[in-house]
Amino acid sequence: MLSIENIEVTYHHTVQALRGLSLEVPEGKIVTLLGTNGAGKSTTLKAASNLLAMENGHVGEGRISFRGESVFGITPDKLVQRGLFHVREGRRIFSEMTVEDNLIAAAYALDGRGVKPDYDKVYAFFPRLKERKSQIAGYLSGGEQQMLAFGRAMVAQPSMILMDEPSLGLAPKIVEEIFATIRRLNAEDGVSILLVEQNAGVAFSVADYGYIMESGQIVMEGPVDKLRDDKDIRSFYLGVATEGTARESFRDIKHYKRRKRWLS
Amino acid sequence: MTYDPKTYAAKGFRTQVAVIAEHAAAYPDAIAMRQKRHGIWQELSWAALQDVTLALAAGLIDLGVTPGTHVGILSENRREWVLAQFAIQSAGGAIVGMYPTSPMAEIDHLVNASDTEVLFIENQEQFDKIVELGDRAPKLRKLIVIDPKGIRSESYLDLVSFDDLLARGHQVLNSHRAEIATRIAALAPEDTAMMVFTSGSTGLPKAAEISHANLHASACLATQFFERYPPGTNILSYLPLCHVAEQNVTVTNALSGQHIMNFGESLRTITPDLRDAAPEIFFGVPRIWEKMQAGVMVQAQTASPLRRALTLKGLQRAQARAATPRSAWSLSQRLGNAMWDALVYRHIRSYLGLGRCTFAITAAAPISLDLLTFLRGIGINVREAWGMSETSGAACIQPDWGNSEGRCGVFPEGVSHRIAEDGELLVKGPIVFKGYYKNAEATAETIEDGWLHTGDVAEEGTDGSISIVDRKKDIMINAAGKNLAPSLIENAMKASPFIKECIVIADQRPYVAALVQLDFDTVRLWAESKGISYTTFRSLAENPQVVAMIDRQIAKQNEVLARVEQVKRVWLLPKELDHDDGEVTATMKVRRSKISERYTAEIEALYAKQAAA
Repeated sequence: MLSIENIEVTYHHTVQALRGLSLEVPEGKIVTLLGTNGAGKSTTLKAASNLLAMENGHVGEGRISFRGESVFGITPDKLVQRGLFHVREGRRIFSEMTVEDNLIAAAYALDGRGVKPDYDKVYAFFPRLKERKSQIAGYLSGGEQQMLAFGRAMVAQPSMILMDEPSLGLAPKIVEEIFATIRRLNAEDGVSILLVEQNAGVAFSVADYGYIMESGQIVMEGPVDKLRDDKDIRSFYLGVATEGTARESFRDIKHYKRRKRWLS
Repeated sequence: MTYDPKTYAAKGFRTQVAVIAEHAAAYPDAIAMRQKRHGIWQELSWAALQDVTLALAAGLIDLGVTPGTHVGILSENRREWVLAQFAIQSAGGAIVGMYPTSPMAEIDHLVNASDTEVLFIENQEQFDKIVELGDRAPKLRKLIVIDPKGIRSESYLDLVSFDDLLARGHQVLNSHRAEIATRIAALAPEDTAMMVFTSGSTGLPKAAEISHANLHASACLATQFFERYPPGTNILSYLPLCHVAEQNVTVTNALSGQHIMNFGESLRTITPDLRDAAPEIFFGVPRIWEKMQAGVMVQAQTASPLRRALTLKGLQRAQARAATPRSAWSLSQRLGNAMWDALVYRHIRSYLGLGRCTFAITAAAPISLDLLTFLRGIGINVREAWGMSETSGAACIQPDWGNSEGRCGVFPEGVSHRIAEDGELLVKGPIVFKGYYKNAEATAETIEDGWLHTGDVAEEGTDGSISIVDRKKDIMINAAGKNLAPSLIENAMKASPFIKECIVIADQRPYVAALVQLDFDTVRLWAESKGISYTTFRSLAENPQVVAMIDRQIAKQNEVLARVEQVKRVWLLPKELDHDDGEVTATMKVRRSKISERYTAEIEALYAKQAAA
């Protein structure tokens, strides 16, 4: 569905963010991309949705194709109309507008596709949004705003969603709800999802396949079941260094970093 | 009056700490060493070094170190390493150096094989290994930690911090001063000064005992090798100090020549530290030089078009020019060198931190001739040296620009050598070590009538210089009964920029096959230029196009080899070889037996498929 091959991204022609990164999201699958701060996860998503130019980013080499077609010649809004929706980090809703207006604005993505926006479906997924339909979106709680951002994506009826840290700053209960929705959308509508996360635990609970990224490169990849059992991933991303489910205590935190080797 | 290194040998035998005392008395304010800490180079004069050494020695005596106690050091290179070394010697103990990268199982062997009783450890990381060791090291009774972050409250084996030991030493120094002087005076030439572990590529590492006389002899050689370098010459210490070569370059040489030992911030900052220190004398193992070359090539390939074209042209010329010895250059070659030096080479040298380096050494493992030509071509005066733990360091070295027939140069005065009937190199002289600790059998096999059996097969050129063929134990005999030197084949293959490691299999086999480890950096660039998408090391190694490319590289490198030596089949390793997996030693030497054991199935496949076809 989405395939990224060997892309190199630089910002301001000086800062290299991605160094020959490749990944693949097959149709109908959830793929997660994990990595520390500054590894280049968000850059990867922005490259795929063609938003880099807005931040003076530049894809030097490599190819990105969505449904077999290169994304480079297509403007971001046209990409959305073709079914590639990017839910950006920090939600980016129109905070001065009402919930309903936010959803209506998203219907722009349906222009020329001959489909009607299905707001009821959003309200069915998120009853809370229905209750707050006419409220100003900026006054919603963080979790509700994330639901709204998600709702906007649903209105656009995409075939693929790029999702940037949906769990950011949310209570565990809300995170659970959001991820349940991701799972449901994938299962019911067959939407493919590329999920960028810091919270490896929840990402692994929904994803089929995962990539681990470090300083602009993929260092490891594999089916989620395999990644979950990897010693390095357990200690660096899941916070479980030893066998079993016992979490490491803060008392045992070391002042040196265990060498990561990423053997796949 | 500045110090004259040429007077060193004339004064006869002295221990390392006696030399420090001499320097401290005659040149108290001259700089002895520098340590970069939080970005600032902190200096220590010879007088201050003498003070610290004595105080630490007093601390060690207070801790119960007696003459002959084996005191280990398990740390990366830092000032404290050599301070501990000198203090141990002053307290009459013997130093046991250990690799900080060694996993716990290996430390188990090192500590027990050397009967280490007191151990300096660097930090929490090493502490955890020792705790894990537990009862398996019954003789170990005291621990000193250099960086106590995170383990200040621990009391395992009476853990004390380096700073506390030093403070305690200052307190008790006056009451121990006479005792220290007595102990230093009692150090006899034949006493063991330090134990250096052999690399252990064929078996478990053995502890080679090096005496004070050995160290003195090797210091005398150092004043010969480095005779043109005045006091105050800079050296950067970055390779493991428990390795005899680094001891040689950093400690032995710095003491006899009054050079300045520089210690960088850490191993991870080696590149900027090297640029800071810009040493005049630089020692690198082949892997370091390989890395430098790969780094330069990657930078050149990814530069802007004009710079790329210019640099590549210059490098190509360098390679061609360096094939002729410098002394035989024609006028046009010299002019060409001057021009390219101004345009390209000197900038590369500065970038590498070798802008001021006029004496570069490579040793400890075989190096490819192509790489040497490259380095010499860009103006690095790299000379091959040969030595081993058992010769207390360097035993012979090439003249400037490697201008000798043999690859390892000539033996200096005072060291005799001969080549045995089976080709093995035998060495005799004051640098030959005492023997292996508690291993009389191995010692007897190695030293016969004062001749050290080096285990290296060598050839002698007409100018008296020698070349090493291979380790005697590594020589393989193929199924047809022909002798093969694997390192010759492997180095021919490693001359390809895409091949980082090559392990040849030929023993009792019908033809030569090899396991190859890709050079991730260069293969990655190649893949990108060909539009091959990849994600991880493994995906590159399993890509059919990469496999085909490596096959072509092998075929090309095969041209320089005789027919029986040519590599017929290869298999690409899906991961990089690692010390933690026991596949390479601490110095990254390949452990053949471990690898053939681990990849038995793949190796058999290299032969089986052929048989079927």
